[in-house]
Amino acid sequence: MDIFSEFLNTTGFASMTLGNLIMIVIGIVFISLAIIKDYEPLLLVPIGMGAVVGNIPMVPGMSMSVYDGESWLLGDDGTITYVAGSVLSYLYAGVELGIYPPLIFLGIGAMTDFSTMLSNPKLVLLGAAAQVGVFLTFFGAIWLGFDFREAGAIGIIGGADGPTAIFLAAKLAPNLLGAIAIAAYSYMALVPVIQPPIMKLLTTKEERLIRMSPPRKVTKREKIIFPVAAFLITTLIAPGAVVLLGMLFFGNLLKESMVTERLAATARTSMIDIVTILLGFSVGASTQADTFLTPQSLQIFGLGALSFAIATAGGVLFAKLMNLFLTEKINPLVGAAGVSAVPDSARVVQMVGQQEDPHNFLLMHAMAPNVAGVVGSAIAAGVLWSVLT
Amino acid sequence: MAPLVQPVLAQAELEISQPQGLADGATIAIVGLLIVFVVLIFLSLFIATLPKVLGLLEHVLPESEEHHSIAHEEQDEDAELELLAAIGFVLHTEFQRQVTTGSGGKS
Repeated sequence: MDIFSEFLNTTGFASMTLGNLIMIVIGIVFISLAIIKDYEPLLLVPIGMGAVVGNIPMVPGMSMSVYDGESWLLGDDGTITYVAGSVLSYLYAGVELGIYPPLIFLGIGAMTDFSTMLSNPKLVLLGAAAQVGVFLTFFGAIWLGFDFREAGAIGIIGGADGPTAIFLAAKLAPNLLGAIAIAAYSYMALVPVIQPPIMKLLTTKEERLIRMSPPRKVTKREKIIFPVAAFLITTLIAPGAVVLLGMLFFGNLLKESMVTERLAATARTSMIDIVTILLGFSVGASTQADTFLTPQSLQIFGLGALSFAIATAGGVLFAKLMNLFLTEKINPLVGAAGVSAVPDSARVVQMVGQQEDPHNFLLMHAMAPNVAGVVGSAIAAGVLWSVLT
Repeated sequence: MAPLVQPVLAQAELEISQPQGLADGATIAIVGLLIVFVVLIFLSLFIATLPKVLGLLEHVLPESEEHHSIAHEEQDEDAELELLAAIGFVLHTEFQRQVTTGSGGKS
């Protein structure tokens, strides 16, 4: 009987708290949204399942949770005993040490086509303008009482780049990583809901009808030289971004060089899928009730929504500003694609543009600031990391 | 006396640090955004200049056909054939629809 009651005390039911239950329900909601509504399924399914796994109450004395890392214990007799960490803690090490996000950037580089950006370089500035969402949100987080490092990690949500957000949060504010990751990916899935009203509010019908001339053909030499040169230019000015941009442009070079097609194919398929599974699952498992269900998480979600809105507005307004000086006008809707949720925000631009003129094809033009935004958000993360460390 | 002074000083320090924190935060935000702009302006200028430089280089080192560029062009040809097939299908479907509508109107 004693053994049986002892066993009962070690079950999850005995030590389940209300917080654990709420987080398990949240995890199931994420999985449901991903499967039923197709909201970022490649991330929300692993994150949701990770949240369910990570919130099963742990058995005291057993290394099971993400936070049960390896340790060395000093006994009373002076002996030192090594205690291995949990499996989840070793998987989570890729997040904590900032390993997974650069590997994802490698895969992203191997699947990105920069030719739309190369054919119309002035659209790169729209990717820069959208980063105003990062820095204004950073300021807003300080105003709300977060410290500088936490504010930097929260601000990068406005970059609309999941790996970048996770990378910077792991470096600056690991205690907020779960909330920041979930906010970033949730709002990326909601880009088709958040952006269109702001785009229509800030543009006139005439502006939305602007047609842009077709992009020029880009030569193979340009596409091969670009990743190396772009890496040197960006990281010599902003060295904090060297890891993320190095992997991004390395992946792109693997793709464009045409002599490493096997490596590029692996990077953009198997490798990125493996890392995405491990990243999503371990981030989800880290969202335990005591770290996630806090008033701070609500503030982070609020600031995250604001950052996306400001980034969208920043890109659109900067496009309108550029039009004051350009003879060949830019459709200001394209500025919204500076929010680097690739390719969703470019698709939103296409959709909103076609609502005014079904024969106006803005998608390829929007891809230019879209990919420029990826570079811009990585630079913003590098700047914040180097200043706030 | 000392215990009465200390809380007032602590409060004064708090009142100074919040505006100072906001000022420092604003400075970091402005400088950070400027750095992002500077980097991407340089990148944009490089991209704009690259075709001109490569145009000059073309006279010295013309872009030649190599095995991997042939493979890439073969992939491009396949993509063009697929595109033509898709366009052909759409045209055929549209013609069929017009023929069907035309015969319905006559009766």
